[in-house]
Amino acid sequence: MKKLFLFLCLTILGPLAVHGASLQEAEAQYRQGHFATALSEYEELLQNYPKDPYLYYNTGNCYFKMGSKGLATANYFRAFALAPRDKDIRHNLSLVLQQSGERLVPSGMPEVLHQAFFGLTGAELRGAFYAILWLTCLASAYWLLKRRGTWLIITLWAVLLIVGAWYGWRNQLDRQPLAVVAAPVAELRSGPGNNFPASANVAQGHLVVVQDRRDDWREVVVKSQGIKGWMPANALEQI
Amino acid sequence: MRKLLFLLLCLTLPLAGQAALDPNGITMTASVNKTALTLDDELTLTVTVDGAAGDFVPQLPSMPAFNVYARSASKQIHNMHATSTFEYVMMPRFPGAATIGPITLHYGNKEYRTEPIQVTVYRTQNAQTNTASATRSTSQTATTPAAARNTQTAQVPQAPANMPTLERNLYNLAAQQVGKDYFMVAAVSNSAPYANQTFTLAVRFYYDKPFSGSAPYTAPGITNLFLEEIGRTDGNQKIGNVNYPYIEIRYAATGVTAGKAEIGPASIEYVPGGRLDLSIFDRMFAALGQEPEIAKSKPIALTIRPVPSENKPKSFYGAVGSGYTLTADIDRTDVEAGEAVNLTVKVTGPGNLKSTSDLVLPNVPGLKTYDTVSSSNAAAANGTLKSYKIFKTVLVPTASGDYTIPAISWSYYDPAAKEYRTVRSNPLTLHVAPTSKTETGFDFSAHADLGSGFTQLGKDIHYVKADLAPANTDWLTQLAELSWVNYVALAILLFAFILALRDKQTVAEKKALARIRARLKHAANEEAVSDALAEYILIQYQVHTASLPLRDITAALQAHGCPALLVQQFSELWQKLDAARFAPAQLRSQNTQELAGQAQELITKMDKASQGGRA
Repeated sequence: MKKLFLFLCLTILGPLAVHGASLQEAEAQYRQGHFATALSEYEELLQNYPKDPYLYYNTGNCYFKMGSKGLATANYFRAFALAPRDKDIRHNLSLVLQQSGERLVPSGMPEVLHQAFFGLTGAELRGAFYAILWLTCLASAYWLLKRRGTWLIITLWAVLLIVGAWYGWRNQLDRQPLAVVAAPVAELRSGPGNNFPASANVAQGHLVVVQDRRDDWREVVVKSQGIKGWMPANALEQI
Repeated sequence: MRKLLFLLLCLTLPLAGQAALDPNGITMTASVNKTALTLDDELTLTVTVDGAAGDFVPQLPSMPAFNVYARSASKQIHNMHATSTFEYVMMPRFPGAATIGPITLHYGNKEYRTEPIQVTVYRTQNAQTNTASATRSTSQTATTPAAARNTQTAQVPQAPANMPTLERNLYNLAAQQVGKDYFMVAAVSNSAPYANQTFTLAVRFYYDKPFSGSAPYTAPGITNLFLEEIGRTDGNQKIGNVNYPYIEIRYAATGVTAGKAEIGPASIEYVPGGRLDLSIFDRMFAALGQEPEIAKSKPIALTIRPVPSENKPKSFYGAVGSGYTLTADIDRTDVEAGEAVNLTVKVTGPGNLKSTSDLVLPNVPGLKTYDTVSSSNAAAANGTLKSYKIFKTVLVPTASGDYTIPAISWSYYDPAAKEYRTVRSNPLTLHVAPTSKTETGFDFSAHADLGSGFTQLGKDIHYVKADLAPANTDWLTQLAELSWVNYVALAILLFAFILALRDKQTVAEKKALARIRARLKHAANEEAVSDALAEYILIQYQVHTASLPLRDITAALQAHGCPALLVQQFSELWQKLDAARFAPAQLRSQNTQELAGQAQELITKMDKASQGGRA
């Protein structure tokens, strides 16, 4: 019995203790200003916890402190997708985007509405949509057979429509091939090659939507400017 | 002890000898650029004085075989050691062997002399006759100026035809003044120059009697011209039979725009008197009490011609002359995007480039070009004016890549060849790497005084999180994993839909049935029950009960498929309802609910019978 207990302790609590120590070590490195060391430790932890928003957040912080706003933005976005209600993640993402001339909240949209729109994670929103769908299906089946509860059916279908639109919109945004300029400055060229003239310089941290690809080049649209062109793939970080 | 004294003597003797040789450490040398030349050649005599500081001028010997028409001086100081160079441009006057005598310099109570230089002057074929006559004329002039002036004939002497234009003009002008003790002439090398073409103006003051050493000179006024002094010299010129000493000032003149131009009179104020062999102090004291006189040159009217418009290249910016050179350079060839590169274009050539327009630099795609700044300067060298114009601009590459700044062209009009010529720089290559500049993370621009003793200094990101995110266990997330339930729900809905489709009863019928049942449930009297029942018969069997006898109603029901048993029950109920309508009110209220219940029961049976029949 003792051996079994020891085995369970080693297999379950052991890794947690190791990771806890790594987190503390990474945090200590960050606190002392050794951002590169902290970054390598956070990235190592991410290999074991690829769905942890805090690790992406911490990674973004390290990149930000090292002056790489593009990679910081990418990691904050990953954290935001996993934990959109977290205020620290929202703050840091908003700040880094603001410094790059981008906006987290689209122009004209109230902050509260944006927070409500991203009030649920993608998984939560999908779960909510499923639940309403099930309820609506069952109620509708009952109504078809019994012709009772018409107002309930109407209400359920209205809610399903709203949640469905919300879920569909979020799903579309999540599926958008969004990338961020990770190189200090990326040149926007009129074709996929250095032989095409450059039309603009795009500083790191700017958001782009990838539309096409040719070898090591990506056709992108710079979201804040609406201009289109080709960038080297290694200048971009896919979100 | 003797040995030591001998050794010291040996060491100090060479030094003492050197000091005795030249206590000031000054050396003076003279050289010419050629020792054999023809009559139409120029000879440059260079005198170099090494080690002498301050202002001084070597004294040239009498050189009757040459006319000195330009002089320049330059000085270089290196490690507290001065080297002065004097250059004299001379034209030979006679063929044959000529000797440039020792050139002397009085410096520090010591006189320095150079070695004589032998030069051979050959006659040119076309000038053979003239030079011969000049030789003859020279051989006849071994007299004093006064005696020569007395023997001067009424005929004005003419300059030899092989003389350079300017020298000839000066000579002819001076020849008209022969007989005067003091006179001043001014002549130009070109009386109809092109705009921006530089020509020479020479002003000479001839004298055959001494004058006060402080004679102030007034330069000529000019209209539509640039004037740069390029040298002062003195010399002797034999005009006719008179050997005149003279002082000359030369200018490089440049026409500004096409049209008329004028050179006003130059003048010198002098106090005549004394003898040439007196010292300058003796002459100064001898001149005291005498009235000063003024010698003036005549004004010169010029016509500045425009350059031909035919075949004028686009890269012509107004320069006229010959021998222009153009260089272009960038301060670095490897930069990052966004960094500035200085492009410098230098044009060097004769004359004055002040009035030429600015160079238009080529526009290179990808290179942002700023305004061009130009500067120019002119300096006299060897009796001519050399000038340069520098154009500077800043190029900023906006993107990485290799850029080529194409060859820059500069065209000028060559008056001698009467055609436009173009010089070009070499193309320049600029390698531009992507920029590596990054920005700081902290946003200091957010500094603001928000009042209430709170000052925001800036914005920064929030601190890292010390833990992993809590496991997401909310039920919505877990529901999202049950996507298979969607298929179940949809299957249920589909099944219900199929069932509903199998039910032929229309929605209207069902609604009517529900309404009728409600009416029966709440019927207040037999009449309401009758009406509800009649409505059902109408909806279900399309049989109107109004104003029809019971026999006809039952017949119609049977005709529409109502079972006979149900027709019988309907008939009985209908009769009861008719009877109840006329019954006493007390009994009616008791029977109404009972009759309504029977009606409901009948309707249910008819409904089932009807659905069974449809099936």
